[in-house]
Amino acid sequence: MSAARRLEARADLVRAAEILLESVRGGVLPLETAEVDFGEEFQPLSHITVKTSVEVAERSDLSGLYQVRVVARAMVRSQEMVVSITTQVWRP
Amino acid sequence: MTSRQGTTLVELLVVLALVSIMMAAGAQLITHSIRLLGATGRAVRNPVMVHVNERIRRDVQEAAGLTAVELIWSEEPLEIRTRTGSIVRYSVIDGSLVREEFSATGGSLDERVLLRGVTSWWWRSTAPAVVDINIGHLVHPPPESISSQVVGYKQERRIENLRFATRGGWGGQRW
Repeated sequence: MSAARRLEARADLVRAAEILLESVRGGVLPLETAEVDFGEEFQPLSHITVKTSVEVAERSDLSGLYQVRVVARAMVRSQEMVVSITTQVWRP
Repeated sequence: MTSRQGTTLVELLVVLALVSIMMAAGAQLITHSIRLLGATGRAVRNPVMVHVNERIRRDVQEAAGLTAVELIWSEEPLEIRTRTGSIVRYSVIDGSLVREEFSATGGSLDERVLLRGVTSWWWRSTAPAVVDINIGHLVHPPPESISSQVVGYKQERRIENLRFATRGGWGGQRW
């Protein structure tokens, strides 16, 4: 069952990272580096506890453009699993 | 001199024990494979749901706005104003998620069923340019194979939590 749990956990982490990224883009969350607690906003389908964080770095070559990396992580059978998405956010 | 051929009881028991162990191991392997297959199916989202997700994502991300804002979860249709002036409406009709598109004058441009076996539909917009959607749908058995949409014994449903942000912030400069 360990492979099955890892698959389900990975799908949950991808969903969490996508929701976190849309939250940052939409302004629900501030555009700043932080640990994010979704609370009941995100409910994983598998039995894992998801921890999420946002890393923001302003691009030096273009004012108003930020490099954003969202990270979702969880412990799955005593092993840490991490999913991250890196993209750009335009906030002039 | 007599020759003794055949197998003893002890030999037979040893062979039986070995066969039993091999059968038990094989059965466990098969059970594990079936569970893994089911988990893979759940983890890798079904193509129809992926299509629904991408369709709503595209409509919301390219939207000019919503016709009405719901701060708390609503079962009402979600109506999106496009940048060309048309209206895209998502609603649940007879257990199916339907996407309709109307021109600025109200004429119907398109209507199609995106997902069957929908058990619940909720949406809200707690922040400008952000839409949260919860879709409950049947996973097993396939919705085409049953006549009733009532969730019952041996029926498995799944709820998708979706959040989309509009690109451009509904006329703004955010991206």
